[in-house]
Amino acid sequence: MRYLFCLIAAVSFAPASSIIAGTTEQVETAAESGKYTYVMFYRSNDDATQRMARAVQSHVAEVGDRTTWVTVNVHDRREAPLVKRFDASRIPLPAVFGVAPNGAVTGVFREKVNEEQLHMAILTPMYSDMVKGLQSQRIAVVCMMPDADAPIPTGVKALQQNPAFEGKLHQVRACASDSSEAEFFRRMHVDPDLDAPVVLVFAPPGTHVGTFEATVSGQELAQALHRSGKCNCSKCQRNRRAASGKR
Amino acid sequence: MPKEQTCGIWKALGTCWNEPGTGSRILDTKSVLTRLVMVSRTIEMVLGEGVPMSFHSLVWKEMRRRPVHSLTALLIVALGVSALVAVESVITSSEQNVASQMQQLGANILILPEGVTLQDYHAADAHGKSLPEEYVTRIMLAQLVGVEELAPKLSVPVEVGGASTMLTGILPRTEFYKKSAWQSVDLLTADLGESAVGRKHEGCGGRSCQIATADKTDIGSYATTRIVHELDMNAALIGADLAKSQHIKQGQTIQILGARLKVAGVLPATGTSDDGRVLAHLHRVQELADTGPIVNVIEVMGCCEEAAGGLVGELDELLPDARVVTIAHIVQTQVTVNRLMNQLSYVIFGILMLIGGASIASVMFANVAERKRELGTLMALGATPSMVSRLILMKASAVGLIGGICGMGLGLAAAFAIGPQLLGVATSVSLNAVIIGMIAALTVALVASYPPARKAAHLDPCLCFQDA
Amino acid sequence: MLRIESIHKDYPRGRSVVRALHPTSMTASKGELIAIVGPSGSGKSTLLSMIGGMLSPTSGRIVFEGKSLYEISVTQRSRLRNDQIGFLFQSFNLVPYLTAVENVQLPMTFYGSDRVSQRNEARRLLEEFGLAGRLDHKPTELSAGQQQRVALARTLAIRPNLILADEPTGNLDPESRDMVIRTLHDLCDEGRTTILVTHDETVSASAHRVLRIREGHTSAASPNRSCGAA
Repeated sequence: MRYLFCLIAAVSFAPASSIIAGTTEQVETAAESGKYTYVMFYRSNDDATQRMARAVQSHVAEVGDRTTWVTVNVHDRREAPLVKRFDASRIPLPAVFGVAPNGAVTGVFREKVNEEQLHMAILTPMYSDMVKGLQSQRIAVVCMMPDADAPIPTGVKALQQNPAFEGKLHQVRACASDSSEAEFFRRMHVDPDLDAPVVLVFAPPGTHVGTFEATVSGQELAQALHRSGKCNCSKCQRNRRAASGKR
Repeated sequence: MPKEQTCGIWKALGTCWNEPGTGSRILDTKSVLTRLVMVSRTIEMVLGEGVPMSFHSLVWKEMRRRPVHSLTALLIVALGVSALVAVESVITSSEQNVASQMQQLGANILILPEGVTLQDYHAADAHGKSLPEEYVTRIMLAQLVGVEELAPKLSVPVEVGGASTMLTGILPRTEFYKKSAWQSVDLLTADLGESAVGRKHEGCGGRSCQIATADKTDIGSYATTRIVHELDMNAALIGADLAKSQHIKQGQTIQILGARLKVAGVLPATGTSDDGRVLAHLHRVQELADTGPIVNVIEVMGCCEEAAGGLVGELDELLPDARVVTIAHIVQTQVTVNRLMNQLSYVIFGILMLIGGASIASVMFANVAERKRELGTLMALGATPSMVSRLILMKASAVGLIGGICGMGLGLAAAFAIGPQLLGVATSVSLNAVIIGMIAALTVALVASYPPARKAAHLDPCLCFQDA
Repeated sequence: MLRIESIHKDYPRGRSVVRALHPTSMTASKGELIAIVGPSGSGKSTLLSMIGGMLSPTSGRIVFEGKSLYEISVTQRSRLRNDQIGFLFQSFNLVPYLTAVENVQLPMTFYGSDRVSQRNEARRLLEEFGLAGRLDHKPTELSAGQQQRVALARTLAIRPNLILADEPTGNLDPESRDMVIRTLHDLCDEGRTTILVTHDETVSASAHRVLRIREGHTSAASPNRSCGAA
């Protein structure tokens, strides 16, 4: 891997046409090994590309155990699958995508990027799971649990059983006792020193619907979703239709 | 009305021809002139001969005797009124069209290639210049406050079933959802209060919900929202007029630029140029037309007018090579053009009314001079000077009124004919212009004929004698 | 019935004044037929116009049926003409775009409202004058004699007490001329007064009195013969 890293770092400063192919496989390999991949797309080896490559390279050098990076010239036909997957021919370049091991895109930065932004794109496993759910157009119901044995709040269970939300929810469960999720708790503004679970609900693409205590009922969660306007239950669909009809 | 008169009218109109077995005969061209004469005689019969003559019917009878005299004046008045009614009706329709666009369409900002001037919202993609499609992503990724939806478009000329039309590439909402979801983490951070990215505009509902609802997935909603939620790469949407003229139905497959596209739906009529277009996925259109990732225009739906105002500056900064205009600006341009046309139409109307007035005055003076002995005789027989002047004024009113009605008819016909052709708007009647035109025609006729009427009233009745 | 009191008429011409009619006085009784004779331009029509209430005299009065013609309003004078004075012209002065019956109906339409009876009356008069078959003919479709008969019918339509005729036989053939003279005498017999301007000696010879005018000067109306002896 170190060899690969050095090779990529070297070619990032070489003319674009000389950048090696096979990056699709590299992204897949990185994912399999649980690493984040920064995929940098570029058109030409101009100043902006070189600046961005240096920033990514520097960041990867710092957190090399968890990340890797690849560069992709959008004109390279061999990279077509990756270009197509990120629609890179239609985005402002250079741009770098943060891709979690589960395939979730955890950040996209165009033309310039800094260390902090790249750092923010590295998520905990549960956080990336939640983002994957949101990117699949589902409502993320995140249960922040004190420990692995704590039961899922009844309100969340009730919401899952609500036929109006069938197939529309993505449940994520993170434990305070799991040190790898500490960053997730911090970013969700939840104190890990929990007595009881805390429920957070998000709607795609990234709207915070609310943070609830463990005692929240299924009805309250449903109401919060209805109120937020991000709900897609039959009742909300009816209301929206009526509202658009009035307009 | 006596039965014989009624029948006379129907006969004249060609619907009561006394032929066995033919209740209503269709007019043939040969008899059109004959029928016109008959209609004229029937009117005369109704006004004058069928019932005992009245003082008023003298006017009609005299006009019938000398129709050419009044014709020039009548024609000028008619032209003036028709110019006013036609232009005003088109302007009214154009304004209604703009208003309805404002109301119906979400877009309030257009991003155009540099150097494109635009006066019609619906022609925003018909200038032949292009922008890179990456501008769309650039706007999206910039997470500008107040941007709710984006609608890039690329139009290329195509033939469908032998008919020339436009193939317009549009990007379904799902494409945007996919891209904006790349920023989920940023948005979450923003929503949880850590960053300024993805801020909502105060008073707006925030960015669009990314959950597909039934109202969003209805393909027909494009007609009003200009956005489709989902669109298959091999699907096409057909405008109402094109579907009608080419007999295209939903589910059918059509051949465009060598590809077979399945008609996913026929859009409801909007009264705009969209009715004659084929819509398909933008990327499919780019591929078929081999244009590369470009667009002709990007429509931006700001969450409200206020946000749209603020967005212009940010978009200008974000896309220095593009031209950013608000719909309000386009509307303003259109309103300015309309106002100019409006003023021009009144100037033309005024000039023609002046000429018409002068013509009426001249015709009436000549008429009075020609009828000296007749008018003198009327006075000798007991007509008062005011009766004589009333005869002249009534004739002038008839010229004004008939001219006004003819002008109104001509103007409306012209407006209905040229409105949709030239400006692409469905014409509706400008009641104001009709009323103003009619009142002005009548007033001008009366004012212009007042001096000759006065002259007639002061005629020496002794003119009726042989020695005079 | 008609009294003319020292009327004269001057017309201004530049800074000077031309006297068209020198002071004239006369009276006309009910049923009387008076002929005014004189060369062209002698003032015959001026006198006739003044008697008809259409030309105000420079001085003097004309009193008809107790009313001084030029001391009443224009409208009243028009109304009086329409009610009581009938005119007959040398060129008939029929309205060219009206039919015979409409021409006869014309004076009745100015003030009357019962148009059906007006039309019936017009028809009746035309039929009396032997024009039953010409009711809907325009003047151009009628002979001179027929036109004058229509004009006579129009004159009689208002049942006038005074008939003013300007060369009524000037454009007629002898037969039509006789018919017109006969009719005027018949009207005299009915008690209507007729004043006619004529060059025709035969016509003036049949009048009760003859007023001669030469260069605006009138000679006294001389008695001619008794009424109804035409």
